[in-house]
Amino acid sequence: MTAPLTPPKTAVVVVDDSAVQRRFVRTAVEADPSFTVVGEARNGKEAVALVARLRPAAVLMDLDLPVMSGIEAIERIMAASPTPILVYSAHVDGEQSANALEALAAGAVDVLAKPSPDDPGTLEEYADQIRRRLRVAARIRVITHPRGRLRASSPPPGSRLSLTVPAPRADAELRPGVKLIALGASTGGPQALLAVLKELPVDLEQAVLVVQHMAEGFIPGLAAWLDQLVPLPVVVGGSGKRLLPGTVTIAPSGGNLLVQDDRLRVLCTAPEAGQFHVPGIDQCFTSIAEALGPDAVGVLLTGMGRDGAAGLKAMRSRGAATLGQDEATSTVYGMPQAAFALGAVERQLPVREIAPAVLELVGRA
Amino acid sequence: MAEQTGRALVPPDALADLRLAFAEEVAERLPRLAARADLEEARRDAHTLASGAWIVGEPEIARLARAVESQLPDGPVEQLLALLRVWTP
Repeated sequence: MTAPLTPPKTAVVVVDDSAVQRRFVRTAVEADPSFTVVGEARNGKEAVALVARLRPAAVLMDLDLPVMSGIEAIERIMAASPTPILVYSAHVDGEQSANALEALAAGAVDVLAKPSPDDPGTLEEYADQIRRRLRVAARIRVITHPRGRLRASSPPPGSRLSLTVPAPRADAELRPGVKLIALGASTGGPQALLAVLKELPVDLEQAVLVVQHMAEGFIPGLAAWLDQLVPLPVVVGGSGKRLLPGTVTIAPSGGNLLVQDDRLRVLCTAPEAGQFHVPGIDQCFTSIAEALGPDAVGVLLTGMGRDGAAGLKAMRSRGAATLGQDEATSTVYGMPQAAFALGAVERQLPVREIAPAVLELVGRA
Repeated sequence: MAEQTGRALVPPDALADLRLAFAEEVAERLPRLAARADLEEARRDAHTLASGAWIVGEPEIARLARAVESQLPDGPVEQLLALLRVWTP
C-alpha cells in the first residue's frame, strides 16, 4: 500500500517593512495548510531579489516600503520574474484609491485594503480575506510587465492627442451608425483599459462605456486615475444620466449599469441574486444589445471567469461589432477565452491593436 | 498595555509573538519618531507602528500613529510617544 500523495504547497513571499505585519501575514497565510511562506523581504529591493531567487507562486506586498517603493518593486518583479502579486496597504481605499490603480497598472493582480484603526472587523476576518484573495491570486497566470509593454507602445510625449492610426484594413467593416463603444474588463483590466483608452482621440464622436469588476469604493479612483492619463474625460456613471459622446463613463460599483435606449440613458440596478461579479458585464452588454443593436461596438478585455461572454454574444447576435483581447496580452485569459469559445468575438487582438480596430470600425482611421 | 479586543480568534501564542515583535518595533522606531530629524523616515515609522498597533490590539496607538503619519511635522506626536513608551523596557 502506498501513502497518499501530498500535493505540493503553494510558495508565497511576504514583503513588508514591519516585522509585526510579516509575522501576522505569515501566520494568516500558513493557517491554510496548502500555503507556505518561503521568504520574507523588508523592502522593495530585497523583494525583487528574493522573488527572482525563490520564484514563488505568489507575492503578498505592502505598498509603502523603504529603499525601493512598492510600485517600483512590482514593476521590476513583473519585468524580470512575473509573479502574481497581491498588494495590501493602508493607502488604497477612499481618497487614496489612485494608489490601488497605480499598483494594478504596475502589474499587481489584486489590492486589499489594510483595516483602519476604527475598523470593527477582527484580525481573523482580515486573515481570512488575505487567504481568500491569495488563493485566487496564486492561480493567475501572469505575463511580463504590462506597464513595460504600454510604455513601448506609447506615442512620444506631446503627441498624445495627434494620434497616428493605421490605414483601414481592406476587410474592415465600417460602422458609421455606432453610438457607443463598450468595454468590459476584470483582473488586469486597469492597464488594459489604459492601453485602449489612451489611443482614443479627444474629438471622438461616440460615447465610451467601461464596466470594470472592482470592489466598492475603488471606481472613483479608477476614473480619476484614467482621467489624468487619457485624452477623453472620464466620469463615473449614475442612474438617469446619459452617456455622452466623447466621454468615457465608468459603471459604478455596487450594482449593474444598464443602457435603456438609443438616446444612451442609463439605469443602475441592484445586483441579481447570486451575482458574483459586480458590476456585471453580461447585464450591461445585454442591455446594449437590446437598446442599440448594430450601433455599438463591444470589447471584452482581460479577466478571470466568464462574465461578459454571454453579453458580448448577445451584442454580436444583434449585429454589433465585437472584439476580444488575445491570450498573449491578457493578464488572465479567462473572460475573452470564454467569449471566443462562445462565438461572441469577431476579432481577437493584442491589446495595443484594439483601439485602432475600434477607430477603423467608426471610420476614424 | 490595553486589553485586546476582537483578537480572541488569534491563538494566544501567536498573539504573544506578535506583541513581542511590536515591542521590538517600538524600541527601534520610537527614538527616530521622537527626534523627527528626517520627516519622511518619521512618517514611515508612524505608518508602520499604526498597522502593527491595530494587529496587536492597540487601537488608540493606531489612531494616533495614523494622525501623526498624515500631519507631520504637526499632529499628536507627544501623545503617541507617551503611549509608545509603555511598550519600551
